[in-house]
Amino acid sequence: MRRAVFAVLGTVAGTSLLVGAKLGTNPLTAPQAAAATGDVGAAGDPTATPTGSASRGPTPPAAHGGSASARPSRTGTSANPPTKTTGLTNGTFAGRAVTEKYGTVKVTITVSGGRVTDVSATYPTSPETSAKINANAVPKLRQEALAAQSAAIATVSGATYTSTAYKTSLQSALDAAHA
Amino acid sequence: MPSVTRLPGLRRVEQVMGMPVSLHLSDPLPAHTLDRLAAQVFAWLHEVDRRFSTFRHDSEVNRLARGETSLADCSADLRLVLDACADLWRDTEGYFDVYATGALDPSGFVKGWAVQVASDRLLAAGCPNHCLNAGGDVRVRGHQAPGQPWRIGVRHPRQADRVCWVLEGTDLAVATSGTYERGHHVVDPHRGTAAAGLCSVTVVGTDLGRADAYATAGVAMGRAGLTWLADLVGYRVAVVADDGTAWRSDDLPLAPPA
Repeated sequence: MRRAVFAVLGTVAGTSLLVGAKLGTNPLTAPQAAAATGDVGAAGDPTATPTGSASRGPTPPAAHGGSASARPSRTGTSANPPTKTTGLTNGTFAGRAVTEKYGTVKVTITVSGGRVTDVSATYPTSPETSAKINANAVPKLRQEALAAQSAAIATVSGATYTSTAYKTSLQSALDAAHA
Repeated sequence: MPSVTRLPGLRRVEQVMGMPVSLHLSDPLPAHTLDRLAAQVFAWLHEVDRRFSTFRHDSEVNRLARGETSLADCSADLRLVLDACADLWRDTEGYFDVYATGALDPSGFVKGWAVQVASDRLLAAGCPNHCLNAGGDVRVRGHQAPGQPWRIGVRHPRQADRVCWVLEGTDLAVATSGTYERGHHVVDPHRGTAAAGLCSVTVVGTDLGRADAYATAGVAMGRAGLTWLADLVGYRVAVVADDGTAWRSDDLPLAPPA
């Protein structure tokens, strides 16, 4: 006997048994930064890569699975024309520091032409572990700071990587951070 | 403000079966006990590699494939693996096929099974809090820190440094198969061509061998795999399709929002 325990959300076809959401292609969207920093938010949907999918929410599932599927009401925002109308002001914005498991994270975003063009995160250097993360893992974990809670993930599941790919993987950053 | 404490336990990464394997034992056991347990885990995985690798000419799998040994002479482990693979071939409508590429190759099951066995042995040996990740296939039990169940990120198929979902649990097997890391290497056994349609399939359950095989089968099925994966009993899935749509089971064990 098989069961179907999947809900249907948003514009996903009624025949589907899975919760679906469009995966964003631009990782640097302000709503994510807002989620992490708490005070660079309220920026609407600044992404300049509209895909035309009706189901595309403002936040790709990278932020969190729940957010990926929980915003059907934002349907249609992808029709935003690029730049100027995104509501984002050019400049560099520092977010409020957020305390994560490994220390305090502060996210800074850079907006140019109405788009978020860079995101960086800093970790404190005083506690030993945070110092290690700062030294070894921040370049790889910095976008994790945007993904709400992923600084606390212990490991990463993914398609089997080669040894070379491992060296640039988030898993290797986690291993290095804890070594 | 942040107080960071060094957690007890052991972390180790070793290269086994052609991939990095990360082990994290979070039980507050004596260092020598943790060392012994870790050594046993990696010794087992190296043994599995020697016996089951299709890249080793003299492995038991290759000797069987060449007809140099008979099934009756094979080890109990290999017979168990082949039986499980036969079950999985049936359960996956033929999409999990150890002969998909022509020669016998049960690696799609062996890796997950080997990790599962290692985890079972850790539990039996008095180490109920651990995480073993073999090239992206993960088995966790217990907690990563007191009061904190394990959190497992599911890699974003397009960005190696990001995760799509964060799972949380105290008894989870998480296997991901995809086309993004080594190209379209999963073969659709019914067509004999590279599978396309789903670029990342994650299957979550309690048996990593089966989860691994289901994930591989899902990728092999392509787009049609979505509905098949949705109907799996006892397993939850999270899928990213080639067109960028992302899908997950409603009851995927997601970590609570921060």
